[in-house]
Amino acid sequence: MRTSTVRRALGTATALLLIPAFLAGAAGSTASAAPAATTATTAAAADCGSTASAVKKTLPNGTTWTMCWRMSGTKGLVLEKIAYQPKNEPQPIKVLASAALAQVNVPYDSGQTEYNDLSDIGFGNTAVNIGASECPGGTISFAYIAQQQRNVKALCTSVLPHGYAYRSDIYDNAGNPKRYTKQGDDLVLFSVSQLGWYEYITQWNFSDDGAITAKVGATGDLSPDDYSGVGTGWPIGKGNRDYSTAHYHSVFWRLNFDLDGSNQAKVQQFDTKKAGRGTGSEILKTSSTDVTKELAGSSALRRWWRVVSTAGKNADRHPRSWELVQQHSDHYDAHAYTSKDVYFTQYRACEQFASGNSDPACASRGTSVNKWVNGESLKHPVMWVNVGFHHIPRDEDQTPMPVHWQGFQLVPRDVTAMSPLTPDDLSGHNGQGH
Amino acid sequence: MTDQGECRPVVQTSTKGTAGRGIRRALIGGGIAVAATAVMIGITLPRSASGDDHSGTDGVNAAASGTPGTPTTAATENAAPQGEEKTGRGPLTKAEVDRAKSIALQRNALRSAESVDGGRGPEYVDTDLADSAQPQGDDARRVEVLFYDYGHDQLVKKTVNLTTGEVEQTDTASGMQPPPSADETDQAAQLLIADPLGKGLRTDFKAAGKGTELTKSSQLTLRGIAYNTAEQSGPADLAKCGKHRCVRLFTQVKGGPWIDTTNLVVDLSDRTVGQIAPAQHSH
Ligand SMILES: [Cu+2]
Repeated sequence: MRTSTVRRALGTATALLLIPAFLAGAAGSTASAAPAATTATTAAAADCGSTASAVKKTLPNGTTWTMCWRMSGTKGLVLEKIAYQPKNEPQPIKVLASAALAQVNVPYDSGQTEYNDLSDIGFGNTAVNIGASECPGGTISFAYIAQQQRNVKALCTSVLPHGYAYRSDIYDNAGNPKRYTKQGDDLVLFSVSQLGWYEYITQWNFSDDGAITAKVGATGDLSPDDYSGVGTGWPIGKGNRDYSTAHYHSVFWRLNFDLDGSNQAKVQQFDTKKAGRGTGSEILKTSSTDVTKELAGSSALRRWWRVVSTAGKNADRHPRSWELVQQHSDHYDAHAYTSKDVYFTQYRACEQFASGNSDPACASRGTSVNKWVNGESLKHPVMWVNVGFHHIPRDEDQTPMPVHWQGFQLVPRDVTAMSPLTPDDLSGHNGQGH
Repeated sequence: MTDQGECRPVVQTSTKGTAGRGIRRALIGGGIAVAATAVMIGITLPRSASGDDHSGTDGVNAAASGTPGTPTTAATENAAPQGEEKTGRGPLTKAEVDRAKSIALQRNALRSAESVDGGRGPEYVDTDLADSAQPQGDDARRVEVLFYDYGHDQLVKKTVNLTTGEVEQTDTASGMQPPPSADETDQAAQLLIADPLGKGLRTDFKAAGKGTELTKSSQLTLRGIAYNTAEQSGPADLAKCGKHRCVRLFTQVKGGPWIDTTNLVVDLSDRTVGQIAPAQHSH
């Protein structure tokens, strides 16, 4: 094994500092790892039944993502059997059995109207053709949309650069100054749905460092007839006349995990609290709580959750896990189900939408996710992520409205012993003093 | 920003909060807006201005808006799968949807149900692949076919195993309202056009169509919206929507402007039309 005495400290602080950059597409490297395994075998495409629905892409830095896709009339784009294979891993690492939108709730501040865009209209029912110019360099795939009784160019798949993967001026193993830097890439999948004048982009980015970014972009046009007044709208025409009504977009995603091929996973909540003054700074103590029963969770300062594999460990013998990274979200406190930031429920096939659930097999359980959290123990967790955006229109939001995005990330925590992008030269730098 | 004077003629039917002003900016057909999507993906709002800071200055998005050397068109197209699959998780094909529907209704199943126009048999609503982690845990291709029984105001789900050709389960519930089908949407528009509350729609259509009368739903591009007051706020006289199957409409003159009818609710179960906010003026 290579050892190096000259290296810059790559302690834990480095990884944590990178977290705010997650939403810029890059995931922080958890800089601690053993030399990775041997040569990777070629990743097999996920078994999707039909080859047309299998997505398999190896990004320039060597990471391969595989998954199956389809369009649901109500949910729109559904991704299944999602697996991640960093370049030195011998096998694809299974992550998610399925991932899809679970609601888009749009109430207007005037108190006059409200839409459940997903459960009342449907993102697949309203899927539109993606034009060649909207998917530069990518692949456009058709899907049959039952409600439209036609094949729609519903999915764009492409590889797009996301800027820096990392940069570090350090020394090589011979002690000479060397700059290590790489650019990163994402596998990007999106579909577009047209819900009246609003248009939504449902997008998933799968980064070469393992980060998964889910986001929904709203564009098209503001509602042509929702105008109100001071306090509930914003004047977007000349002078103070046309107050376009402010409104919410509360977007829910449903994630059904399959960590390392098992649906049995643990959920943990982490909180970091002040614990007195040290000699040089405040002491902060981080503690974890096992979420053993269903949970309706609220965000808080320095609080986060992760889903931990019961079936797989990395080469450092740390259990693999995926961390939920939620940044700014204004949850809508006028509905019970939108008042929380995340839910963990015990898996049930008939629980699909965060509200307006319309599977008769679940009728006796109520129709929204907050009602499903009833103290059941959590063995096969389903994670429901709620991201709310209060949209107060601006002059600039007029036709066509610039896309406003909202979303979250799922970021690997200890999935590999070091970042899969670590250059070979530095792969021995695992742990203190290695 | 857009000046009102530069806008296309505007059409407005819904009357909430806009007393006295019938003319508003128009929204034109979907095609133009869609074409802009690729560029739009590249645009993000500054954090401080938007509050939705989830993409920030995302390098991915910046790249999508036109990095030099980036191809400007999609490289390839994949056709939709055809025929039938025996297993797997691929998109449903037309052949599979048609077969699932016929299996669900074989042996005169649901013959006591009623369709949206009062005919015999249930109203077909939707077909979707069942969740991947069904308790059965096998590889069979399972499909859920939804019907609505207007005679009993019930949603019926038939779980069809396409591998074996059998109906495995039937579940029934009231109060659940998935998105309306194209046929239900059409029925709702037909009822609205014929209703006194459809007057504004008829007037606006005539204005947009330079004198052509609106008489049938096929003159409109429509998108149906289920309306369930158990799931959202609604006025007292629409409280039955949810137990009943009710529909709102996004309405567009074919090839022309939107006509906002979202204040109006068509109750398909008792074939009446109501409104969410009372009219403040009429056309
Ligand atoms: Cu908005």
